[in-house]
Amino acid sequence: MYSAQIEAQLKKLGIKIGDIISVQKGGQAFEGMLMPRPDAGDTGSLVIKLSTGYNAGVRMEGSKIKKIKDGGASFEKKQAQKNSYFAGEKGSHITLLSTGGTIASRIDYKTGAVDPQIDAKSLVGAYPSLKEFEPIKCNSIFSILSEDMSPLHWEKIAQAIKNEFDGGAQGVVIAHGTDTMGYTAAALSYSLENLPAPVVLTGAQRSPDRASSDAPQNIFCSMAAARANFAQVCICMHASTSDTLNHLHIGTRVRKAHTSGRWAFKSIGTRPLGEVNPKGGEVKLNSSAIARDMKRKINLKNKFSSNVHLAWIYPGINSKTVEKWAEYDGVVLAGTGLGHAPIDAANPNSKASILPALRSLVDSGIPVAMAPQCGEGRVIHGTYSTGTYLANAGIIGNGADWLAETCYVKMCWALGQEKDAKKIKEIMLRPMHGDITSFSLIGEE
Amino acid sequence: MLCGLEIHQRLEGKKLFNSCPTPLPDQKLPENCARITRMLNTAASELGVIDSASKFEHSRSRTFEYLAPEDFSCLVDSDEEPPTSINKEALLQALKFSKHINASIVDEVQVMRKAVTDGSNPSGFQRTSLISIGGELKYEGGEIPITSLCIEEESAGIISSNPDSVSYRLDRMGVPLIEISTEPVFTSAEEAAKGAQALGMALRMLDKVMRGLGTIRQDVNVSIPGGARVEIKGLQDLHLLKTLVENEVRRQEALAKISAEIKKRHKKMPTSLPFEDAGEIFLSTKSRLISKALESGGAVLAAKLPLFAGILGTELYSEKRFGSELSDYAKQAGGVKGLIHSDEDMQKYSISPQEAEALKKFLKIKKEDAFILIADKKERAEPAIIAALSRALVLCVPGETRKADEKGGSSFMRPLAGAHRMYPETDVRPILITKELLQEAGELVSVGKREKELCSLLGDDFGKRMLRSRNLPLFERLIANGADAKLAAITLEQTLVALRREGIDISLIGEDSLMEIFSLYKNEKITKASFEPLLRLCSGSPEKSIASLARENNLQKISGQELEALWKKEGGDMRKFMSKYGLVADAAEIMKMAKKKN
Repeated sequence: MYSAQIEAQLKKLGIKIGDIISVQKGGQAFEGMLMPRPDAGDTGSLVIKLSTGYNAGVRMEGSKIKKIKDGGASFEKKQAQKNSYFAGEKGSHITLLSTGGTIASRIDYKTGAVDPQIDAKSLVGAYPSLKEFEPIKCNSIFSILSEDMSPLHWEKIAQAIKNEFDGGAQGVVIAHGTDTMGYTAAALSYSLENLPAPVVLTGAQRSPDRASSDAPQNIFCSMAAARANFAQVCICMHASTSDTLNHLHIGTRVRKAHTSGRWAFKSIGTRPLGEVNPKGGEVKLNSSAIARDMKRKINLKNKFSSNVHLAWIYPGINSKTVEKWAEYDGVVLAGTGLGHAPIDAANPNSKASILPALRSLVDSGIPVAMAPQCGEGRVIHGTYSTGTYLANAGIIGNGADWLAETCYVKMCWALGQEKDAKKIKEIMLRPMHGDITSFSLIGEE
Repeated sequence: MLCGLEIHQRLEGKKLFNSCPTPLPDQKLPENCARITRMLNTAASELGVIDSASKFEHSRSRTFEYLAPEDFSCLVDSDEEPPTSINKEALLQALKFSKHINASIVDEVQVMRKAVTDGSNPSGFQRTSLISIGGELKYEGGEIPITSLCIEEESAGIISSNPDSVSYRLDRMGVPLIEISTEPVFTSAEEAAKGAQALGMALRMLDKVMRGLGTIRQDVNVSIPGGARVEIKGLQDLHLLKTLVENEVRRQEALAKISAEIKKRHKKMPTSLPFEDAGEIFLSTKSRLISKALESGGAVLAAKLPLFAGILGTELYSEKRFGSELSDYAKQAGGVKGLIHSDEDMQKYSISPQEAEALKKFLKIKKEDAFILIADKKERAEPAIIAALSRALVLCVPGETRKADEKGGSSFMRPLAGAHRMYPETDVRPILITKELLQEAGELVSVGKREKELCSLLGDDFGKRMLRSRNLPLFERLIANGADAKLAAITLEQTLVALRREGIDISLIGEDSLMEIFSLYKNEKITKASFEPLLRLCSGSPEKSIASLARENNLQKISGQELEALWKKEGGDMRKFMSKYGLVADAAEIMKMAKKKN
């Protein structure tokens, strides 16, 4: 946005965004369409789109400005669109639910914000290869970046998915920001008991406003996966930097492992659930896929606690820090090595040890679980005395190879289902949806 | 006729939006490169419109393969990581040149994405920024008015292409380019060639300019009254500029006449033309081209061009006919090898008179009509014939981007791209051009002034030669570091050239080694005569310092008492002494000593 001073001056001159203007500077005139300003940069510079398409920033101060042609109408707000669309005949359809994120983002000067709307007709228009998946229903639940997701959003998404299956959907695709897509996938895995068909989360690492965006392929492959013969929550994203294959990752065992690359999503401690060929959409599933059965009705368990703490154990962490966690309903620790924390095993009641502080959390009824902060592997609390002390203090997790973020989501969910500490411990350690495996695979790097 | 120029000059140092080093112009591609396979879609502009050039490229649905040498490319180049802020060094060069031509510099640089969907940019766009508009370059021959100066990313280098896929190398991707567009002021090809040369020379006065084959490119814009603006890309050799412009003028004139003739013949122009599969006529053909297509399951598509008799064979310029124009469109759209038309000799393609007759009958061709025919795989032949037929119905000179060929001709590449190619680069913040930044950019020395300086340092012949040498920036860095100007010029232009001709890889002799050799000489640690053997040794062991090479190979300078002692010991024979110690002793000192003793 322009500075208030500039806005006032423009108003005085009768100039609106979208008008063709001329700004004389030195011996030259910059002539073109007055554009809205992004928030960044010098709010005292006018952004002018020249006839070549280039934008140039010209300081208003000391320049002569002249309006040449009125053109502002094209920038006026369009009426808000309805958020549910069908492409193709109504009937047994796939639903695409949009929650926001890069996959749905595009500069939109009409509203001055990122436009969240995915409408089925323009989607199929933009990516004609989606036509083979018609009928497609599109619905926008909300539009937020995934770093802004909270357990409350997980509850809403789970409810929306149930509604879609109740309404005849044969599979559901969720367009989601990539930052916390792994968390949401885990949350949906726990929330949607007795799932009849696939729930496929997908996103984009490169925005759809560029020709190289991974969005079209990810949506195409997700649509193909949503029609396939399985009934789990998964994430469908590029398998590598090339546009040649997509992987399906089990919702409880997937991590965003690169900040920006197309291949960011990886199955941790397990093989991908399957793969999708973007040429033709053939889906290959591995033996852990559960067959779809449209007769199954979802048993919705979408209550989550919003008061769980996820803490990284680090050298130097002290009791004072741990004591502050008493305000939470549950705590998940990402421990070092086999699931360790500094407890000074030779002298576990010393000042340097956080064991007493952890013990008092557990004793006060707060469930505390341990997950490994190493990328992969299992919490093992029997090898070193450190582990034994932690297990004896009541820390949950011995033997679990869960991801720290999955463990966190499970804790939020368990607290939403149960209040009794014993039962919570039992839920936490019960392997569900592949979150804890019974044995570790050889051959994982 | 009016013609304008667009000059693209590569800069060396780092890439424009990441910290990878820029590769040498003739960098060899290492064997073990990462390989990336990608597809591109179309994307709409900031104003919501898809550019026609992007649409055209997308309709070709090709696969792109990228080879990424790890020393010269990174995730920004492969479109896997957002760009860093703009390379300040390159920005300063652009500002310096803008100041030199007295252009109006923008107050805030806005980085844009220009849609490029032929795969030459993995992202599907080229980052480009307008730095200044207006100004003029003054040179001996006059003044060249400048339209704009931009700084942009170089594209990936093409390795190979076929109708289904194109292979590119990523080391060249993202190298900074200064793009200068002139006003369409050149009224003759000679003038344009002179202008291009003057701009090229002026750019060389910048200190970060890359030199060597392909580091500067000229695109030419030609428009004539009654014609259109046509942009011709990829002219490598300035000597061909004259032929290129003349051919383009002839082409546009001929096309305007052809359009008028077609209009005259048609009372009402059809809006589209149908095509048909004529495969059955050629089941036992002797035409290799057609039988090959049929054997591989392809199609023979043919169409009537009503009232087009004689038009397809009309010459535009040497060997190029109107038929070749249609053929260019067919090639680009479908990747076919070309088309056959009725103004050609059918026997050239071994099509029998009976087959030709049958085809005419099949298409209901009368003597005032013409036909075209394309034989290839159906998925290629179809878009190809549609494109050729659509082009035939265009009744004016279409605005196009064309590619220059090595004979001074050109062929259709894609429709002329417009303003809708542009979208703001949301990953890079706008850059405010402050007074401090403009000051930091410095002043460019004009070509004339630089020539005078060099001539006074090196004499007229050597001075002029150095002005045009690709070693000029290195030469200037050496003398700024205290090297003797004449000796530096001789070393760069003669000693190293002679070594290279012997087959020695002088690229292994780094700038550090050259700096060191001049500094050792200045400090009297080595002699002038030892330069050649030391540089030879350096190319063999580039990891060693010149000082240690001199020590290990007994090339350290001997002088003063030590030299006198040697002189006595060797018996005072000048010739013998020189042949034994000429590389390590200063000839002048020996002469002086010899004179003194005698």
